[in-house]
Amino acid sequence: MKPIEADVCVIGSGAGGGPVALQLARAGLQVVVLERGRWFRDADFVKDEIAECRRGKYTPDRRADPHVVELGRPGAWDAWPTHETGWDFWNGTLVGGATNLMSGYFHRLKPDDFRLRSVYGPIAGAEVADWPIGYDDLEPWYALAEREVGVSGRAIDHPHADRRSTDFPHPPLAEHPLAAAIDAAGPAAGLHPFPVPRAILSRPADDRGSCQYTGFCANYGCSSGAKGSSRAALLRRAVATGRCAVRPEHRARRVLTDAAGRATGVEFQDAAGRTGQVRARAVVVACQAIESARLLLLSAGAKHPNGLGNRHGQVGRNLLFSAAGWGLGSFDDPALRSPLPWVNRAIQDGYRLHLPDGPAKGGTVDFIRPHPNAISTAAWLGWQDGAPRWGADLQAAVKRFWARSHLEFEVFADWTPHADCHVALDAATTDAAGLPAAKVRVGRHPRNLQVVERLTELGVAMLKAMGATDLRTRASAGPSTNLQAGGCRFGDDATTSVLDRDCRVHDADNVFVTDGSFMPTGGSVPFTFTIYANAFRVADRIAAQLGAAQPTSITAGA
Amino acid sequence: MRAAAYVDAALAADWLDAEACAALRAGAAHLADHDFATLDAPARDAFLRPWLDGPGRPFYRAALPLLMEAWLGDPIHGGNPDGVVWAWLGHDPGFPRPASPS
Ligand SMILES: Cc1cc2nc3c(=O)[nH]c(=O)nc-3n(C[C@H](O)[C@H](O)[C@H](O)COP(=O)(O)OP(=O)(O)OC[C@H]3O[C@@H](n4cnc5c(N)ncnc54)[C@H](O)[C@@H]3O)c2cc1C
Repeated sequence: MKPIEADVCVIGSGAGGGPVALQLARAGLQVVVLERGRWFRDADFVKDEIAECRRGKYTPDRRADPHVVELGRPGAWDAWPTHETGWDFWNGTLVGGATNLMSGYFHRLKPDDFRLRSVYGPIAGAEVADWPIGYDDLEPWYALAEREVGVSGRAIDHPHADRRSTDFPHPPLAEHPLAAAIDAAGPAAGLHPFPVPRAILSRPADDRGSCQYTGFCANYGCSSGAKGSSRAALLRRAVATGRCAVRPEHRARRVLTDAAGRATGVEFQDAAGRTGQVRARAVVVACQAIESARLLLLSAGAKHPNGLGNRHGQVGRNLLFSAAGWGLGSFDDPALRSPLPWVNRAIQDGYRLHLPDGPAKGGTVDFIRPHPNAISTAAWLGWQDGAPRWGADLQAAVKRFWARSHLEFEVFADWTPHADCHVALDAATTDAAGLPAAKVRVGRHPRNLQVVERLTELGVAMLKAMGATDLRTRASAGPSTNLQAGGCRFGDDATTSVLDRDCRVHDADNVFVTDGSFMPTGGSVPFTFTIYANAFRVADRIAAQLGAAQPTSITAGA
Repeated sequence: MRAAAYVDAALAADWLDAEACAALRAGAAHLADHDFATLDAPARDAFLRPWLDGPGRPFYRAALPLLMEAWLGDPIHGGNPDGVVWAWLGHDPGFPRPASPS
């Protein structure tokens, strides 16, 4: 196969890849995007719980493409292939990546999130580090990402409100009556609920339809184009420039480097199993945190004997997830029943906490309606206090659940960076292409649960103030497999980070990593908005480095 | 709800893990040995309670998700004929609906 020539080769087409492809194509550069998965169009996405949510329609078979999870404690780690743990670290292997399947809850980080170590000090047993940039450096890119991706929302004043330079580009989505009930109950509980921004169009824009309010959103592709996936919002327009070619079912095997350690291109494998090359002036890695670290580790070269950018053994270190908790309460008031799916309220009253050993970073509590998936809900109701429930009892429980109104909350807290939470290659386990699988060691810091428990109390306080009954809560110590970041920290010290402040590999100045891998700490909100914003920021640096026009002024808009 | 046929089809497909298959087969044999199908409702409950709380637990764990799929899944997968269970429950399965299993 003749090599494909390009200015820039982007590996992975999700949140980290889409903004770069769009901006660099706009800047006049020739861009090739290699994407491991298939290219689905809006019209291909249907609501079929069995295919979409239970048979992994959009992810590889873990028996052929495994991850290996290491659980335990120092000196005693057990390795489990993911098809035996039930966990799945693949989140969306298709053009647009997991952004097709996300819910699009789009909170910003706050200024303190960029300097946790300075603000709160070190945590024993943790590897907390400040970011090399601050909120003000990223703020304009959050604003740009809101316009480019299409974010709906409404800013109100509250004690932890974001400092915003611009207003939301789209009005908020229509809300379920539970939203007003939260607003009404908040003050009595000393809580300050606020509207949650969503990467979902509330009105048609730029050839995309608006939300159809079916509520089948997380885990499903969007058939109207309203969801701000990288595919619908960004890649479509990148391709329309005529300078961006997306190659689905092209899986990058390694980044190629020359004797000086700079990238010359990427070796890929297509659906037919043929290998080929893209030759490019710059390479952008955006495969989602675990797979990006794996790809760098697989990309050894003359100057990079232990993997690309791994001179100081930093690639794969300080992998991040989100610490998580959950709660549920139920209501019988008919006024709180409605088919509208979105509540879109959160509280951040616990963003700063006082723990017994001093002030600590807290997090966010998002209020949502239960997912409308019927099978998983009924299967959950098949257990009552840990015992099987069947027959007429189960039928009655399911019927009653559907007849009431429910409010859930999800807690998001920092996953405390931990020396034993990292990605390595598993020499003993290979994938279908014969490459070593990623081995993910999941070391967990006790701080995670401590914070989650405090935030769960706030969620419960809100549900109680609203008069909810049948309250249930659960704290999760496991990794949030669908929220991954870290592993290739950015920083000013090349011995403790993989990337510089522009997300350029310290030892290979034409290789960039633009998914969530760069984050030294993950914040206490889902990552995607920050990944998008940062990828827009880095695209500007790449354009400048390649001598191209500046793609988009961050003040003038699209 | 065509549940038996649904479970048979799952056993024949390749996505179910070996442990679940074994639990389903062993459980089905146990039920057949005790003529479960011929029992009335109270007798079924009296039989199931101690069994599912004990050695039948792996069977329940494997069978429950499949039975819920047969009960509440899209009819194209073989259960829930014409969406009768959705109608009984007042469940809105969303749109667009799939045209064929994929
Ligand atoms: C059900 C669900 C709900 C979610 N809800 C939210 C939410 O509400 N808010 C939020 O912020 N986040 C949410 N997320 C998380 C969000 O989807 C991710 O944070 C985001 O997609 C991560 O971006 P990424 O660029 O790292 O990875 P992705 O967007 O997944 O993109 C990575 C791409 O790289 C491809 N790839 C991997 N390896 C290779 C290779 N070797 N060669 C070529 N291509 C490769 C993959 O196939 C994939 O398409 C949700 C996720 C899921 C699954």
